[in-house]
Amino acid sequence: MGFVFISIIIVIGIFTMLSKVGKTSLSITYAPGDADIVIDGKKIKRNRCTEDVCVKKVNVKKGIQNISLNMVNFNTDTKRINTNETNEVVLISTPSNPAGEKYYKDNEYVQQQIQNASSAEFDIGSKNISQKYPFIDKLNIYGGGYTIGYGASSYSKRDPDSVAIYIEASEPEYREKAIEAIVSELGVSPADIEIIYNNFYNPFKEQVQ
Amino acid sequence: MRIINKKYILLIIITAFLALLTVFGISYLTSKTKITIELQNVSELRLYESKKGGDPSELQKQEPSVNINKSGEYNITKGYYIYEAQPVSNEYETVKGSFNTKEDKNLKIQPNYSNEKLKSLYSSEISAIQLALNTNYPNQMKDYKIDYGKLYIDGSWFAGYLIPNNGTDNLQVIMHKKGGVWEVKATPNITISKAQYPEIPYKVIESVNVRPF
Repeated sequence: MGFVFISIIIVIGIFTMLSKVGKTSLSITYAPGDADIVIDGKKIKRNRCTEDVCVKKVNVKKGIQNISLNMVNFNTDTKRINTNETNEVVLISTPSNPAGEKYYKDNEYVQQQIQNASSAEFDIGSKNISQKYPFIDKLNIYGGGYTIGYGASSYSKRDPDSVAIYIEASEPEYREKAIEAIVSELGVSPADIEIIYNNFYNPFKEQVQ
Repeated sequence: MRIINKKYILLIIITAFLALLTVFGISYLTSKTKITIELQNVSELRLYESKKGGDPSELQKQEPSVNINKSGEYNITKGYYIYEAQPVSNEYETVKGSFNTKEDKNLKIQPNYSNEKLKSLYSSEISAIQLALNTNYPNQMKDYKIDYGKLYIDGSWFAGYLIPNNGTDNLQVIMHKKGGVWEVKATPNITISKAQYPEIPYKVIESVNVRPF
């Protein structure tokens, strides 16, 4: 009997280990706690969450994953992530109609959950940006005739975590000096990151005919 | 009794021999893997077995493990390789690289034109490039001239600078020849990056960002 029990434990252990092959752990912070989490079209089983912060950890396949948060009377929030680059995601659904607004107002815990999830989303975004652009810690740089900072890129809609370097300089020679400083002090090549030049009028901008 | 013992011993020896043969056979078969190699404008491909992360500059210090001179499927020993591809003529450049049979089952090698070939092509293309820029930017190009221009890869990519005659900023420009027509691929700007234009070959963007002034 003891042998059978141990065998069952071993089989369960082997099965559990095999089921994790090719998978990685993903932490999903979501709000409201009553919404459904869907990963690549499959609803994830979980208990209803009434705590201030709702987090669900799941094992998912490595690579690109489409994750959605669905709830009646609320907007669906969908994120496409690469689990090789990040192991955490935040999903927030907001009211999409008067019934959703009423539910939101009548349940204080839902308001708290959405507020906390928004804070978590901001923190994750900041962490991702620091990891992707380690030179940010050295900015702003104030040189002779120029300032180097950073901000949103021109293509941030397709890549929300993307950053551009901003150069504030009034003369061409100062802009050239700022580019040299970016290479020498930040160790960044202009080939690798967008540089946006404030106070610079580009006569060729959006004028391809 | 002695005859029976001898028979058993013989049986054990034969079984052991067959088992060893099987083990070595399986080991041999599993040590090889099939790689599809496609060569264009390559006269000879030399493969050198290497440790993980091998440096192509180490090539000259050893004999090649495999020599290949035409496209096809090849069974080669699993592992890491450094390779050197000799072009069919000096119009193309020698290609060096590395691959891992575990991750790369298809190897396509197509050398770019050599610098000399690209230079000679550029002199015949510059007029067409100038015309395309004048057509796309008729007002702007009155104040700029093309300089520090080069062709890249197969001669269908151009990158260079637009130098102003009024003391304003020098601008980078990148163009691509498609269907016989030169098209602007990146709006002329002080700097152009792969972040904004991921579809432009990185080699072109990297080179034009080595500022010549």
